[in-house]
Amino acid sequence: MSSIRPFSATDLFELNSINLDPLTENFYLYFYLQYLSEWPSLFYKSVSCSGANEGYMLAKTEGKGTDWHAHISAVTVNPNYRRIGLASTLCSSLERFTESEPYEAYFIDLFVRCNNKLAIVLYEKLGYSVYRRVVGYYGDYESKTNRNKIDDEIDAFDMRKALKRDIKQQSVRSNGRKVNVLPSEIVF
Amino acid sequence: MYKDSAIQSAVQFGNFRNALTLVAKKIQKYPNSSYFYALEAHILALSGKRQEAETKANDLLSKFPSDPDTLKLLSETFEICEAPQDVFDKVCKKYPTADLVYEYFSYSVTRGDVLGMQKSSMLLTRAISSSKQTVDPQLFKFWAAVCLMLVCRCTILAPSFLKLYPQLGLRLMEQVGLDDAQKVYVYVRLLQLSGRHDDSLAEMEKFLEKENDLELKIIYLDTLKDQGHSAKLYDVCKRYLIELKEDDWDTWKLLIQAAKATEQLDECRELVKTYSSRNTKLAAIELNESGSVEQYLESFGTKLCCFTDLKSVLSPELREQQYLQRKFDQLLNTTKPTSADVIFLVNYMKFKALDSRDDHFVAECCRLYSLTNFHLDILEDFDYFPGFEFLILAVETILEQSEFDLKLVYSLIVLLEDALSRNKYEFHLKLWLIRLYTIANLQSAADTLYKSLKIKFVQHDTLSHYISTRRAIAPGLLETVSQFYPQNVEREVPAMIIAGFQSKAMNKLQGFIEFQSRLTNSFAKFTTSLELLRAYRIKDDQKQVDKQVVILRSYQKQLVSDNRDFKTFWDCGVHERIDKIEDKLPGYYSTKHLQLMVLRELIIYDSLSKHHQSRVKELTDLYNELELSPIDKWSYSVLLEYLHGSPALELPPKPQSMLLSEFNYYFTVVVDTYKQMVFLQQNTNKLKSLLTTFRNENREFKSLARKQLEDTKKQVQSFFKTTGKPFKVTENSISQTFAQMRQDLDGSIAYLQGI
Repeated sequence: MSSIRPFSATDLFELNSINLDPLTENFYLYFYLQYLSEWPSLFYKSVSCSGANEGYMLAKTEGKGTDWHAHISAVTVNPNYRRIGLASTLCSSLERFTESEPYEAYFIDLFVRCNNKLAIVLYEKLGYSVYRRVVGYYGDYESKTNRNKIDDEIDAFDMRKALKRDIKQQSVRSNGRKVNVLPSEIVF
Repeated sequence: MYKDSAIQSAVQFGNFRNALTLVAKKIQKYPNSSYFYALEAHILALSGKRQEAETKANDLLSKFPSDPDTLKLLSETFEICEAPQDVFDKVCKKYPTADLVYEYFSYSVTRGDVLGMQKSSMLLTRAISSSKQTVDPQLFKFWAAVCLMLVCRCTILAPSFLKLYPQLGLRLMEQVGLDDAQKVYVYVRLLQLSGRHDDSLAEMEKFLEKENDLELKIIYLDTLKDQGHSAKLYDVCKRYLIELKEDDWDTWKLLIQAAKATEQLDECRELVKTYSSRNTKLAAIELNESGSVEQYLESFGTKLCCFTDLKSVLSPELREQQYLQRKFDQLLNTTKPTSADVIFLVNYMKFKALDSRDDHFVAECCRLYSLTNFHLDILEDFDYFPGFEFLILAVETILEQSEFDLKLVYSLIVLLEDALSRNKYEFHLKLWLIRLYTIANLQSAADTLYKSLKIKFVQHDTLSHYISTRRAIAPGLLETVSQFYPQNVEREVPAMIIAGFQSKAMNKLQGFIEFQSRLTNSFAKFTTSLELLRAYRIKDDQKQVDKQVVILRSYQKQLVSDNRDFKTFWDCGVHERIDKIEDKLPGYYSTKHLQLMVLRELIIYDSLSKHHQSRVKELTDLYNELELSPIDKWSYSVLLEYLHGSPALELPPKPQSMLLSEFNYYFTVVVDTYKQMVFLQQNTNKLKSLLTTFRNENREFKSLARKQLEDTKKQVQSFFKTTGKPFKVTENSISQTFAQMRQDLDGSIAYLQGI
């Protein structure tokens, strides 16, 4: 039983069953509130019939011209509601919300650690493909300086899915795994 | 806030006389600056000269100073004097400049004052229209309309205002226009506050045609339901579910409700069959379709959501149905159950636990844990192993049925630590262990686990009660918890509320304001402050005590928000609180406990308050009403002896076992009570002699505690050879756990020896 519901600031009191998970980050208050202020319809949750929070999506829009896109900052699911396609539901809802008015984005992107095979497979199933490898994205300053020194532990794949506005599919490419960039080169 | 660092530091150190001398010099140097006059009144109020402070503040206010900092100081001064005034409102009515009114608005946001926001935003519309500034007047009309909506939804208003404000808001919105979802949202809310529900439906319908806004869609569907438009509701739900393929449980539920009301159940049944999902399978169960439960179980029996989805609909007869039993029996014969099998077994045992939990059930949980825990050896880092729930179910059953004694508490700690060593990220195990540690006088072990959960920011507010209730060792982590409120809540939230107005996220503002209010008046914030106050008082750190008193003075009984999370702890096993177990675990503070503790501190440290006498009466009433532990009862009776002259109770006997936290708590309360009486300059001879005896005794505490721990270890070893044998806990594991426990217990005892 899942329903997609808008996220409210007071939902932050009810996230422990999701956010105590070791892979889910707890951010500063301003971070959550900024997403609610700037992109109120792109921060939403999935709830069960009893009102339990099953998972949530935290996303934003950015870029100019044909780079105008939605970015998934966090998508996470309560352990009790895993393996039922909830992450897919949360992601497909984002497609629905951002491909039409008022956003009309060209594509959606997200960053995932290169060694997180489970997540990469999930995103590929949802139609995402690797656009480029961001070398040293999760590493220290040193690791962000040499684009040829790849390391699955600290590099991120920038994965993308083109939306219907990108008629010519210009926002995606087939050889993305071979394209390396540094974090400083990602500017929208 | 102070513009002069020397004055600020004098105030911080409580040197009010010096601060006033410095202010006097400033007044002499800048006789036309209102700020230093306000500062003088403020410092007088802080120093306890409230009457004089109030007079000076009123004198200054009658001159209508227009400096925002002066007004903020004045506002706070009136508050300290317990005579609050809306100083900004008074001055802004005389000098309604755009800048000053904007300051009024910002200040109202900072204080979470919705009424102030409403008044200032209304003034702002006028101030902007008459100012020469190049700002969009429509924006501020929008803000004013939003504030009218918020004041109706977030505060208690007189009926006349409740009628007037939405009308005013609608008039403003008609000037603003309805060109985006946020404006339509505000307009719809105002229409509904005016009772014009059908008009609101028409507006939403028009907008949803061009933009599928989630928030408006939900309000639209709910309004159709509430207004009894069942036929329309049916058609709209059908459109979302079938045409737009939005597979949403709440929409399915509304469709079924509308189908029942309009006698379209046959068609509804057909619609449910059009696609297969968790929601449609549950919709089929809701419609009592034959075989629907089996179909759900076949698809989702190996998913963890199965239990919570079916818990309320699966009757005991259905739980015993053949499908579940047959599959369970079949899996029992498997030597290597897959991870999907593990989940099925977990679900099966959870359903079983709803009906009966006995020794046989515990044995079965142990057997299944042994059968499946090989998965722990092959898990990827951070992977989730649902089989830990076999242990939780077994622990719950043991706790429910056994006598709750020291041996059991320590045995369960050994058992859960053993499990956690193989599954180090499992947070339910950690929460259970933290609770057991806090029973077992192993507070530093509880702190270590709390830290390992990487608890941050708002989680401190919801989870800190695990380590803070009746804490009887050093403040430690509570200092981090207490920092969350000034460093994050006060700094981040008001700025983000303003940002919400600026970026026109109007449908989020009510949530922001409630969020701010719930944190500002948080139960955990006040209990943390109380626990810290006791720890600092024991250490004679009056400066820190004074800081906590400032926090406690902001306590307002009717506003306190209990944000503590009691749910996640029970969010496994049968996913509900089991009273028989909860009653055996140490209780957390209730709202009345909090009230009693705050009253005590304010009676001691805020005796100049106008409310002092009423506080004394309220404390006396609560003391007679509440069920307190013997040592707490004694401590309050000592205070009441001071207040009323009624003789204090005899000191209750000290707890025998040092392996329970109540041992530390007992001595901490005795020392704390003595310190309270020292502050109140009461005769403390009797208490002093108690302390002398205690300090003579406590030299032996460490060796006694170690001996008691050794004795308990033998009992625990015996437990795992008899009743606890199925858990297969090794001798080595017991020894390792006890070695660590010895260190943690030493830490608790060392604290006592230092006070």
